[in-house]
Amino acid sequence: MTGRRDMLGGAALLILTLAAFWATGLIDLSFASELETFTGPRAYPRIILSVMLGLSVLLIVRAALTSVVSDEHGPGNRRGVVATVGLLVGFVASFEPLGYILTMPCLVFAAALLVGARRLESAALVAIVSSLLCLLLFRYGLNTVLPEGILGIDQIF
Amino acid sequence: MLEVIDTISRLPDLIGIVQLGLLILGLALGIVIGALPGVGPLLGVVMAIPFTFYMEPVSAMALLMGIYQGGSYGGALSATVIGIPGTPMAAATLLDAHPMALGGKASYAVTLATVASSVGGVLSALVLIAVAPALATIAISFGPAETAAFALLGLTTIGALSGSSAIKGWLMGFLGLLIATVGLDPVSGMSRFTFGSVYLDSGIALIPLLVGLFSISEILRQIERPIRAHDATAAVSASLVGLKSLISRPVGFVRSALIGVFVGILPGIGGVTASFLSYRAAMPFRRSSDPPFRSGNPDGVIASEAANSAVTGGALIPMLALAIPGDPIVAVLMGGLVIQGVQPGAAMFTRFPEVVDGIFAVFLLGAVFLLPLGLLFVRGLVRLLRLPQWGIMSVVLMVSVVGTYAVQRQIEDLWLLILFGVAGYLLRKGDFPLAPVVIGFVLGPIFEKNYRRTGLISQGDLVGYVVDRPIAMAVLGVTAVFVLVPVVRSLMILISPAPNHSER
Repeated sequence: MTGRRDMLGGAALLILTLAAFWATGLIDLSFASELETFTGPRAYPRIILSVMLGLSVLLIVRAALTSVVSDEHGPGNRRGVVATVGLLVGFVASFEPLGYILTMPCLVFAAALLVGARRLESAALVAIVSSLLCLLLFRYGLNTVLPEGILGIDQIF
Repeated sequence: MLEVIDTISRLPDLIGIVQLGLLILGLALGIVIGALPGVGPLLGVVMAIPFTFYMEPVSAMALLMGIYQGGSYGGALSATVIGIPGTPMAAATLLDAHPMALGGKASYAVTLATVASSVGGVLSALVLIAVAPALATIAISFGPAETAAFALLGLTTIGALSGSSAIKGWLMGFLGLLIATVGLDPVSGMSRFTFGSVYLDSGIALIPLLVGLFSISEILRQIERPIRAHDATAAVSASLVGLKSLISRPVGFVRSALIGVFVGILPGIGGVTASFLSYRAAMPFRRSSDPPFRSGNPDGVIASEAANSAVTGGALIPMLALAIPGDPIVAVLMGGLVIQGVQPGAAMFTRFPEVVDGIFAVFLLGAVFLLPLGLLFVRGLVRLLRLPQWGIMSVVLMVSVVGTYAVQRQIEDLWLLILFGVAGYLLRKGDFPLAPVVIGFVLGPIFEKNYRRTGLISQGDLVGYVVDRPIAMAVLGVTAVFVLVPVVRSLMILISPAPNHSER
């Protein structure tokens, strides 16, 4: 619902702004120039945050005063989104310890299934072939070192 | 005019075979990416950015601008053949091109779109080459106060032109400015918002921000709401009648291209508005022998495609001369230049003239090559439209992750990628525009540096100093108008809410 979404979005940004405002108090001013009263390392982010604060409040007030419009699309596949974020977190956590060869095909395979692949064989084929081509492009085309992990890339190729 | 003749006469010296190859590769990739619904030129340019780390500036720009130009055109192909615009810019093209395809004239429609895109691009390249150096000559005399004022103008126009969501546009622009403050303070060298992290001392890197906001969030969005399967069965090839339209309908091409260039120069409007403006401008000139508009009128296709292609050249003018990115793709291109150590703006024309000339040459040649490439690959491209969405998006995810990691080989970049991906997804859900975040982030260091320099030069009397600078005051005056109009409109809505008012 649009009005509620604006309200939630405005509130989230307001909280972020207030948290950042608090964090500006941690900025060390020992080396700041005396001439920078309104432009210094603490004043500059505070000016930005003041504008954001005003805009967030304006957004919340506007959302409160305007009528709610229903979302015609329905909730969608939210579980898929959460699963994908979980998949990415798991991938990043294991990317360097396990290495590219073990983790990347798994990521592509799982992502293909989450995006809507129906056949496991097709998803597996795309995962293996695309990961291999990507490795060849970065490792041997662009000379980039990707994580070796427990299976050394150079020992395999 | 002399600039244009000079650039054309020196074309062979300005770019080499490597840059030419990268330009053609970029165009081909861009056409494919633009044609695939749900991908688009912005995502294409974002994904290509990590690869440009290994190139010199003109080569990097050749690849990125090829994708930009090719992608701006590619959307017309899916709009014609399957009735789904590959990019939002092709929405106006669909109105006439798809009815033409349904009437058995798919080849004619695609050829018209290709010719119009190429002509629009060439004309905008000529305006770019003629206008940008002149504007830079004026801008070179600007001090920090004027530069900061222009940066602020660039940021505020984006919000002002977002219609009823101006508040959201500004919020996102200022969020971009805030993200840009993370890291060491440029004047005192003290840490800001780093919370003791050595990684954050160097600031938030551009690549995880871009790829997360646009690529990862798009993948999450498509997982939540999958794009339906396409039915691309039409046989398409180059059409001689379409090519002859250049001679039979020259006024439409030129009018539409000029509209596109003008809209492109204005920050924050972009190709979608240009296409529809140009489409509307073409309507009074309908030939009696042509079908009505929205029913397969060739001038409708020309108007939309020539205008949205011409936007690309127009948008580069303020980016190159004033360091103000007019649209999100240009903001990414600007980020690509900064990564290469080339700071866009008036000084770039004197410090890096070879890069400026290279960009001009690449852009002009890109627009010219778009015609043969578009017509050559059209048959194969229709087959590509049948690719399953899961295959495309899982590969996009892989390239996004590896590309982001490969730049600095720091695992923290991937954590930031997820953070910005989730943030981008949530912001999309709340109808917050993402483009201003990037524009704010790219403009942030320029604005801060010049704003703080102004503060130091003014010896503490910031207001008094700026009041004595007529250009800065004029730019700030225009900025104030851009801010006040939507604010007053919002306040009027708050004071007298209509019974069934909604922001859509």
